[in-house]
Amino acid sequence: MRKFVTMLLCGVLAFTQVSAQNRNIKGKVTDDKSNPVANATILVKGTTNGTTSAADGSFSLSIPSTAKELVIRSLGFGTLELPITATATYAVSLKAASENLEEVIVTGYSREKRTQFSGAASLISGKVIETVPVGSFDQALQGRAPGVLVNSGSGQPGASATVTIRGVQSIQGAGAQPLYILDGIPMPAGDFQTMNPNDFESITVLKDANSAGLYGARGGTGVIVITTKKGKAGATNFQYRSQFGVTNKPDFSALNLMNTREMLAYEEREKLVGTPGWTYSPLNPAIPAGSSAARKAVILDSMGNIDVNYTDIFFRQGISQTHELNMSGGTDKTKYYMSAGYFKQEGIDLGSNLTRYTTRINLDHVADKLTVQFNTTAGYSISNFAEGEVLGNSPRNPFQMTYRAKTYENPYKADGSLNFGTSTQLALRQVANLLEGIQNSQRNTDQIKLNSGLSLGYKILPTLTLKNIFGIDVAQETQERYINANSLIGSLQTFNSGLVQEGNRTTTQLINTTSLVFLKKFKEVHEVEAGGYFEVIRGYQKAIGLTLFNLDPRLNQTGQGAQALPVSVGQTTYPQNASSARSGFGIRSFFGTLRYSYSNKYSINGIIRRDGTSRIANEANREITTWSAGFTWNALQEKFLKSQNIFTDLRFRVSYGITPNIGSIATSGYGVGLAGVTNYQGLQVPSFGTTAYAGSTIGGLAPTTPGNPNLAIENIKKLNIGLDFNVWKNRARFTVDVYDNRTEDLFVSQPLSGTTGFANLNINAGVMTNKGVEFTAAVDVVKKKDFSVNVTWNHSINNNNIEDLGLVNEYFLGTFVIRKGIPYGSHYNYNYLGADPATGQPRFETADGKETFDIAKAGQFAKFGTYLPKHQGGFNLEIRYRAITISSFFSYQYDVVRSDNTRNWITRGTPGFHGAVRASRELIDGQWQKAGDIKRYQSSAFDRGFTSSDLNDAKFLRFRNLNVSYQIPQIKTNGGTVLIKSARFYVQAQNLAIWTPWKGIDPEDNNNISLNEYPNPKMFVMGLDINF
Amino acid sequence: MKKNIFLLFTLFLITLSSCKKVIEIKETDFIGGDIALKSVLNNEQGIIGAYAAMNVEMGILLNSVFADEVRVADFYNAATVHEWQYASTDIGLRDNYTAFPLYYRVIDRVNRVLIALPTATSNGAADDATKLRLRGEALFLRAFCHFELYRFYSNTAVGTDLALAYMETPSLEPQARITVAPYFVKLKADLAAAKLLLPNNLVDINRATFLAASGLQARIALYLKEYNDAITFSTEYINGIPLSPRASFVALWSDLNRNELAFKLSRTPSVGGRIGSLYRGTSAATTNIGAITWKPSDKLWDSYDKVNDIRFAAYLKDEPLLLTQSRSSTRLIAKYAGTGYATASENVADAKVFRTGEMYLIRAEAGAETGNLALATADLNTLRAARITGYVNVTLASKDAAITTIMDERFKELPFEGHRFWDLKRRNLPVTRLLVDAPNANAATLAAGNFRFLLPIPNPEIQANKLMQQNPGYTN
Repeated sequence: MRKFVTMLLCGVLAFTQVSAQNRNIKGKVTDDKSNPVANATILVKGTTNGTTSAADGSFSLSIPSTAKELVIRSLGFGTLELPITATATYAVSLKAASENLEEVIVTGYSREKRTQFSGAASLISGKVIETVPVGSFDQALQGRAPGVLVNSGSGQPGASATVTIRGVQSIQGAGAQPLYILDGIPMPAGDFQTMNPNDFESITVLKDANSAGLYGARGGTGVIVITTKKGKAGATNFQYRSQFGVTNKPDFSALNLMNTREMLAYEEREKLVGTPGWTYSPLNPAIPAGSSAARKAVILDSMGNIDVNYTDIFFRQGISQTHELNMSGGTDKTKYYMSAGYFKQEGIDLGSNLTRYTTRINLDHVADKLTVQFNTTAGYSISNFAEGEVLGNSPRNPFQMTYRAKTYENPYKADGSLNFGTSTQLALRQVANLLEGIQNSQRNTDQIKLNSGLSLGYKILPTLTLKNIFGIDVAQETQERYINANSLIGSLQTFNSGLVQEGNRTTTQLINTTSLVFLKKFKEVHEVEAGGYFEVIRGYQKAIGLTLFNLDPRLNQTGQGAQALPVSVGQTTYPQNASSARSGFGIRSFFGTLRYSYSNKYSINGIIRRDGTSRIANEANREITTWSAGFTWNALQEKFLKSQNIFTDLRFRVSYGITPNIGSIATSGYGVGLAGVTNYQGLQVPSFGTTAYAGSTIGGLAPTTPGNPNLAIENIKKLNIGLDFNVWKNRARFTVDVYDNRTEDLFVSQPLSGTTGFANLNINAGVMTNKGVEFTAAVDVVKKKDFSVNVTWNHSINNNNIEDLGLVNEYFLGTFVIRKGIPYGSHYNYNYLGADPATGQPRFETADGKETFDIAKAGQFAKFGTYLPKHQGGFNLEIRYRAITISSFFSYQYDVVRSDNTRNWITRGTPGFHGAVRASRELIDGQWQKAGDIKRYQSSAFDRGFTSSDLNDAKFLRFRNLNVSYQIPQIKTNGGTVLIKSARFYVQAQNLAIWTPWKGIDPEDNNNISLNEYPNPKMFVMGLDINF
Repeated sequence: MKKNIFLLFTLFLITLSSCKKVIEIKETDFIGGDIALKSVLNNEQGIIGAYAAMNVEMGILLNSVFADEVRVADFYNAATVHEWQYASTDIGLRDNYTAFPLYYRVIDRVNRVLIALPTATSNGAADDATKLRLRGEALFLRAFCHFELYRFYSNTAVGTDLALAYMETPSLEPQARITVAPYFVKLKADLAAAKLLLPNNLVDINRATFLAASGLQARIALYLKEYNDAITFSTEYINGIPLSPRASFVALWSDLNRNELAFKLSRTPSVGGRIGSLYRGTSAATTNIGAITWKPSDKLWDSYDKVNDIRFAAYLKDEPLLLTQSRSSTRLIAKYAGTGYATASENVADAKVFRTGEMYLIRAEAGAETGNLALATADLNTLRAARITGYVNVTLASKDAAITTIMDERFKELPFEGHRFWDLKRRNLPVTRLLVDAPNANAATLAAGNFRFLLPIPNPEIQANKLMQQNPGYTN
């Protein structure tokens, strides 16, 4: 914009010195793929002297001898300034508008000029996500934008990341995901496994009250606006894109687990009852029934020779591949972008994979006063999960069994078949049972996804535009779980012959927004924009679910042939094995916006809105009115700054407002098979559910929630102050934002006394604050034709604090405490002080700072830190030399402590835990054995429980992505026909390395505790993009 | 172009017309608010909902694991509870022995029925009769659950005079613990009122009966050392239901008869679950017997006359099949084994709540305590004669000898029925395990009166309820 103003000013000056001497130049305008660009504007800089390019991109222009530079512009492309030299022919290559992201902020409702934008928004180019080999695009956002915490909890292909913008702003809605808007149509956070991220042009994260305020009650936790690719006028461009890659097995070496010999020696040393190391030890006088001392020695020796590497058995190298074809083009009036894609990725976990098929069509049409936009995508995805991964904390979870299974268990018989059956400590069959379970079970989710929107705009008057956007978002999911009848795992199901569970859910959201916007410029310097909006959102959910038992052992993965269910003696009723439910909600909003800009120097805007939702049961609290306002100052427009030559851009922004937060209203659910339907009012109205007692033919009825009729919408007051400045001729660009967010009427899930018969009740009682600083820097260190070096870095700091909790001072949530005066997510635990040198008993700190051996007398403390990182960021280094580009991206988080449950288990050092898990080598030297030992871990005769000894620093620096690409030049036939306009070949590595003090498998997770991690895998991919 | 405008305008109108209703969308699929307990049948459903939440299995496992009934078998993962190392946050307690919310949940359910019942729409005389019975059941369950809470968290013998809160109406407000005396005034009043309304027959013993109330009164009187009441109420029960003949005693445990029972909680594989799985998992095949978590202690195993005492055959089993399966031992707890290995109802058995055998032992103990050694001797001999082939009567020489003998007999008559740990607690005796039964030398004895005889009030409860007082010995 500054350029534009400069140009205007220069233009005024130019009128005074029109020169007489002219000459002719000519040239051709193309895009970066060598397609001609028609209708591009070619101007002599600082004048009105110019022309437009023809259909083949060619132009000619008469220029005065005083002309120094040409300015070339075209819709959808960036502006190019070209120095005029002695030559008469100019080849102009325009770059696509994504390079030009800085100029416009897409809020979803409108596109705002950066110079008039007062909010805090981060823009992420689609380029940084489109080649990253993850099934759900949100995972690729990690470290890309300040204040946006993206943590992935699972390496399952297609798993969504947890995205937290500017800290946890709600206790109840701590996991509430930001609102995603795809070309103006809202879309649920968890459905991106059925979306093709290559279709995304740009991603804008709206973080403050003013920019997210347009979304009102839905935008409380921030908004992520995705804009998809548009066609460009000109020749039709085809692009084929393909990737082939591998996903590596995880590395469990950080756990430092004992091998068989070490384990047997440890069991013998600690005389652990029931373990083979002690049972068969020559030091143990007891002889098992039917055995002898000689037999004991034989068994011990043969066991010692078994040392299985479970990583090899449980995991594999996954193969992934993608293919995509897209075409784009169009005319001045109608442009299109179409794509079809295929994505297949195998997980490292046996049986886990994602297959996805997608198509998209984007149409843009302009006819006189009418503008039409039609964006539609449809997708089908099949996600297969390993059954164990879904079960979580279970001996059927391979990630858990990797450190639980004893290396002396040989899962195979001599003939190679699985040696499954009842597992005991002396004859372990756990691994064989796990593998048998994987072979005989299937768990998958198929999703059909549709997101479609039609936008119609009509200019009633040159200053007045009526616009309507109508959108549909549908997800239809089929969830299936099969356990074969003819298997061990099948025999362990109810009725001992397999299990089928199926669920089918359709989630639909309709949105319609009608707006009337007035925009007028008065006397060249005053610009007024006023808009009135009316919006209705309607959501529907419907699900059916069923369970079948007693399956036909001849068939697998089907409910066909299932036999009737036997009844017990005297049983006269039978519980239902099918279920269904429906629910829905509505949101109605009226809002008005007003902006006034003075000469592009000052801009002030305000939004006022009234949101109502059926999700609040109490009519009196159903609607809420909120507002926000913003101001921006474009400092370089000031006369007194004209003479300075340090800054090439300097802008100051401030915004303040109140955002209601619908996403945090807790809901209950109707259990429907594997699916489940949201009950939006279930926690606000006392509700009952069915239950059953075998001793009666009458179905039982039981209260499920006590209800709270006073529930109101919580709201967040957000203040943001920002500064943008560029120096070094815009080669160094910086942004700093500080914010202060205050959540009021915070939902507090107040735990209830057991005497009430319920666990907790949501009330509006608390206040929580998030204060922070965000910083981004981008520097073009070298910017030459053949060689460029670009560095970007962002860092953010967030300080969360719970200011008030109403009636209570603190309560517990998992392993952490919610307490007034400390951050959300603070761990709360006993302080373990090590083993007592004299007796080996565990030492704990008491509440009054003394020591005790008895955990019942110990105090609990909240001094160990929180699981949400205070600092996070990312940096990218891109080096381009001629056609080769190397881009390396790192992300990091620190000031974060997580509870390492895995470590607790493998270093617990008690007979009970040793019986169930494979221990860490740390116990060999780290455990107390005799008086005088100064050791970290207590004697095996005592238990230290779950304490501070397992709260560990989870900071990390991750080499997230490395991409090396080569731009293949145009390929022509001998006859000169262009075969390939351009092409790109690249190799890429994802999660290449990590540096962390964390001693588990992966410090990154989306929760506070580490137990069954599907770690973020290391991937290598090569890809090819061809334009023809 | 006019068409376009028309189209836009139509869309606009459609939007406006739908807007009024959109924020008034109701949840259509759930039972809540006023409609839940509308009719007498709905109230009966509410009572069934209370039975559905009823549980004695927790106490059964607790009394085995915390006392001397079992020892470690194939897998051992219960160190903190089996070895008495728990605090108020203990995960073993949390996952397996959180009686606090469990019983108050049942109490809340019956309290809601007690409030809704008077105004429930009735369809005539049958409904009116049902109303009375439902009120009786609600009061009985309220008393039963409060007594269970007392057994878990309180007992004057081990140093606290505090019982818990006695909940007579649903409430979300924090409640303070009250002392034992007023607690039992309320409890006994509920029980006395219930008794008059409960069916005085044994047609449906899956739900509370008159004699179940007698049994509970007898048990409570024993705990409160009100021995005359204990004799009165146990006599009521004994007169109503005789001891099982020896020949059908084993079949009682697989629910083929209902000898001795006034009240049991019915269990099926799908509803209520498998009690037997507390001790041993279900089997994949007869050659593949389920994983054994707990096996009988040597102390218990060796206490029986294995040939003549029918209780050995009913409760325990020496399983030769295990010999071929590389197991640590061949000894099994068979009391709740249900149908055969790898069959649908393996480990499924009804949970017996009151049994004539227990009543004889209550009366015997009360007799000894009140100086009526003849009654104690007669009851002990009657019970033993019903269990042991060729039994020869004994005489009890003194009160102390009588009490010791009766306690030993309770150990043998009532194992795995949820009595042992609480019996030791109420008589202020230690838990004494044989060394071979103990998981390690530190876990052989829990001294009499040790604070861990009372479970800690769970930490979440302390956090949620400012009025709650922790039991002695535990920090919060």
